[in-house]
Amino acid sequence: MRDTISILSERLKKREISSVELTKAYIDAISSSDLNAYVHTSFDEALRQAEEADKRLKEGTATLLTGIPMSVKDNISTKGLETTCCSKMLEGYKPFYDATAYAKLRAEGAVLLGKNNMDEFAMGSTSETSYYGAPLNPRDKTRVTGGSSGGGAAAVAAHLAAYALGSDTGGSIRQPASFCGVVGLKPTYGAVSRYGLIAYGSSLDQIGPLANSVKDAAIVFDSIKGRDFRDQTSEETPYTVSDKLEGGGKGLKIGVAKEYFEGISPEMKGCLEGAIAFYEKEGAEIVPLSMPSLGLALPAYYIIACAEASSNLGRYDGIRFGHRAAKYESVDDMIARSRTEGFGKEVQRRIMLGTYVLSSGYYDAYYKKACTLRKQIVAAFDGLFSSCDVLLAPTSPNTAFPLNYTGQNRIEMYLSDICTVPVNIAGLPAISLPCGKDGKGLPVGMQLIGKKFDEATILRAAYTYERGERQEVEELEGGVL
Amino acid sequence: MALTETEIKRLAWLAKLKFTEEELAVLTEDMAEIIEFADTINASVGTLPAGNDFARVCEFDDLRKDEVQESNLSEEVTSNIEAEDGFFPVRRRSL
Repeated sequence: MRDTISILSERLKKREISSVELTKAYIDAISSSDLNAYVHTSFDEALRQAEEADKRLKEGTATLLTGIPMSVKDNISTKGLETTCCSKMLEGYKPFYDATAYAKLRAEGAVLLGKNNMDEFAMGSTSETSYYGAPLNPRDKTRVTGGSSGGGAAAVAAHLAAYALGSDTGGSIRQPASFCGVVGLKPTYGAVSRYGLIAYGSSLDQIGPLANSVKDAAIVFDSIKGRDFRDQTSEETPYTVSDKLEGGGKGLKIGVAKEYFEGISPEMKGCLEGAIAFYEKEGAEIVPLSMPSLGLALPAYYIIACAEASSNLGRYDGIRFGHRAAKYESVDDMIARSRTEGFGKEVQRRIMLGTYVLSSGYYDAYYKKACTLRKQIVAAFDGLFSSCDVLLAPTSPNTAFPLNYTGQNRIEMYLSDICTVPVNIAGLPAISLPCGKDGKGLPVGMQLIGKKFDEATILRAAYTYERGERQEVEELEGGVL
Repeated sequence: MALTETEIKRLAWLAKLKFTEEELAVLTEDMAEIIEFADTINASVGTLPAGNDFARVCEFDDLRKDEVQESNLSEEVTSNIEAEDGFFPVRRRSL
């Protein structure tokens, strides 16, 4: 059986192993790993946190997450530990506060092993734009992890962390989860505080867990969600999900919109059809649906995300933090040189596109139009959810690509986000979970999309599938111990 | 619509980024490709559906109380730069 939070927590509580021993096992695994999943580690501090957790375990004040070693994406602030967004711009930057989501886990006694590799400022689908080089996919080291939370997905898949916090702006939790064969949950926009998450597209960004099981994702989500006065877009979430997984498939209405399945390989289609057949067998009702506006979500997403990025990344001026150019002629020149030296090419391209769509004369033609389209996509989802509880779709049209893949141009790479971005555009919750393998033995991801603040239903549906279909396969895979 | 190099230069000035002549040529091509993709939204936008607004209307009672709270300390805020007397130093030109 894999090392899930529930199993490790049980072993810690029974005193079969201490948190310090468990943490050491993960540190050893990370030290001997060549996956490049971590870009900054905090092993000394992790052992100190583990000692503290052992005390709590002894005192009987432990929760499920106490003493469990985990990792955090490099764009989520961790006090005193480098948080660089894998960019030269923020090399050496140490926040003086914790992100709320991470602080909540720390309050439960979580042990932080380090920061995970990612695409620079979360801009990419392969994690290859990282200033520290790409992480490798543990299922096949010649392939990418997906992105942008690629390091976290690799760490969880290779048992270099029991779970990880990632962020999802257009699929950045779900797509790497699918490429690495783990579970990734993108919560409803507003369910988890974004305080301390370094902003990319503020109306799209959301923090969520990458985990080895659906239940683990639910446990972490229960811990990190809720209103935070430091994030005005966060909401009260007076519900829990990890205790509502057992409902089974009976009575569930699962919608299948045909547009999501256009252009995916027959092997992947086969995997997803297997899942649909499984749900039918479990007593769920399958509802065939159509969403003609799906394809339009992509250009709308790139316009909105880049517009927000160009504003958000305006703060990097070389003055208060981040890279500052050594030689310059004037303050203006210092700012421009610092930004040019600090940002990588993809980040610069997206800032340029964002600046363009917000500039006078083009704002109405692009940004305003994209916002209108956004409302249409929200309405389209509302329509679909009037006849189903959950939508079933692929997470990505592909499985993991080879590293340095040049078979696609940039637009084709953007198009590979087609299955994930509509969810961010509409602020919905969605989960990706493993659903078989393609002909090359690479994991295929199934995505379940839910209504706003209805994480409980997608998690229940995901848990039903995981229990029914995956268990035997997973028992073959090892853990850290 | 494709952008000219002059327009790209103006955008770069607005975005506070610098490009060499070679980079500009590549970027002009890249931007043309990306904008062509962005233009695909024009194929579609029809009438605006009612409702579904993204604005979060904040009731007065929702607002937090105006109480004194712990705030950032200047030595923390300036901890990522070589601060001078608690300030961010900015020189007119590099030494």
